[in-house]
Amino acid sequence: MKVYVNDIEVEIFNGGRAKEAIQKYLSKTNQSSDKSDKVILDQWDNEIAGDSPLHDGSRIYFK
Amino acid sequence: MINNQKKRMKRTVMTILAACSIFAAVAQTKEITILAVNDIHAAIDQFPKFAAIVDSVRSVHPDALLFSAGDNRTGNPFNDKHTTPNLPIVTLMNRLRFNLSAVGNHEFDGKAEGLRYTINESDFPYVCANMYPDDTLRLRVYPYRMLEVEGVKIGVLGLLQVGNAGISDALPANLKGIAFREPAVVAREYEWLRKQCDVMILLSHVGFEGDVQLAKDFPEVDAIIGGHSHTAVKGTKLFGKVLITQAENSLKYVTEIKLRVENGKVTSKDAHLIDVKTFAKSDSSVQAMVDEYSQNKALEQVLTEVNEFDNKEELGCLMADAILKGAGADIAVQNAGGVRFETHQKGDFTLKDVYRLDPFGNELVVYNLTGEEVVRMLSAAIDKYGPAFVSGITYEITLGKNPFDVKKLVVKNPDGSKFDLKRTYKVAMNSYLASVCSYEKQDQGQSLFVPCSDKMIEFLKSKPYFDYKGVKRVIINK
Repeated sequence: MKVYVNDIEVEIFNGGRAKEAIQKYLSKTNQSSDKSDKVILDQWDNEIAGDSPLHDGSRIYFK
Repeated sequence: MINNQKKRMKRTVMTILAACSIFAAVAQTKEITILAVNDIHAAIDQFPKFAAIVDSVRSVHPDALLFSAGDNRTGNPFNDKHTTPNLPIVTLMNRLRFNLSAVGNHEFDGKAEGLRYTINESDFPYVCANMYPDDTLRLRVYPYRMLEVEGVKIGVLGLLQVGNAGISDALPANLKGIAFREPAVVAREYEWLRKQCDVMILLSHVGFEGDVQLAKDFPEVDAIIGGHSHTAVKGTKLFGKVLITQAENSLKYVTEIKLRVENGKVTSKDAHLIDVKTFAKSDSSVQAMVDEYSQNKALEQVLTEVNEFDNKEELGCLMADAILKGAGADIAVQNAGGVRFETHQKGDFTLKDVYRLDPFGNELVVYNLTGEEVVRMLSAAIDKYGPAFVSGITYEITLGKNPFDVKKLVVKNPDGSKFDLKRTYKVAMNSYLASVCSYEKQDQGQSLFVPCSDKMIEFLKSKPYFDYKGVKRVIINK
């Protein structure tokens, strides 16, 4: 399924979670995976957990 | 004189009547307090502080309601692998006197039997309006419940997330005999309930985004107490006039909700998160219960006997074989970095060994890949610990000076015969590998929503003895 991390499209398996989308995003943008101090937000600026389930079209932000 | 007396009496009567009408108006104003959690995921360690929060609120508001928006289980082997699975979380929720729980997708992880046990042993009902179990499953789930607090009628409708396949996100085999319908469609069928209560709440395991849509589709609802998306909704968030709450997951927070009801209508809504970890008090009697559950001998349970494991590949092959069997796949792959110890002595292999070997809680993911895609996947599945371990195939890999630089990769069938590059194979791996391994492929993959560790436990229980000594399926040339 296609989800968006910081408005960049990444493809993860159906049933994937936020942490898996972040891993794909980091890999796609050639960034280090050590980002433990950062938070994950949904499109309403709510903080979400790394194991939050996503669905096709989900938008999350990693700041 | 008589006229003056009459006037005074009239004024007195008017004053009394006015006072009565003011009293009546005041008497019809009620404040409803609700404490809500979601996606507890068997975080029993948080219960002592959580219990203290509930006690503290009930000391001020004795009628405060306590709701869970589902996914009470799954995530802690002390609960999920207890000699009576789920007994700890059920007992602790009963101890805290929950009033209601929604059904979450992980409630099905113990199959219908596990959910039946959970429902039957819980002192509170489970609500879900959009699941339809066969009568033979004997799952006593209510679509809604009507509660009454200080004369205020509160209708609570349960809703559950349904995925693209038309079922909730759980291992499909665990959902046998249960039909599902879209939560938004079903919610509208309960408009009549709105008319029968003063406060209408959706106890939703749909996820925050779905809850926002429900608020648009069903604006007559007063509040949606949500779960599933593990969202920390801080403060009062209204969508139109609908309050939406959610308290992330694993009892990090509790949402305290205040609804002011005047003359049978909700006139104000407030919500805030209470941080469980930083709460000063802790309930010692609940702590004693948690300590007992955490010392449960279930993790010492011997699953099988094994010959000694001398290296990571032997253990990696065991894990790959468990994934293969668990997913019913043709090929399985286990990343080298995901094998968390390198040797194991001859003798017992326990539940604790499984969680030491695979502590991450990664879930099973399956793909339909062509032989060519399998070769590309294996080339991309190398981590700093080396190439991935496999089941259902063997392979020989030639690496350059850079250990990630694959010069040549030849896959063979287990009997040494030629691997068909044009055939499509069902390939299984853990969710971590599925997310970090980038290669060109057609199929997006599908989570089976079941932890790999669960399938390893099943696999180990399937035979009395396992011998992987000398097993080698990957030849590395440098």
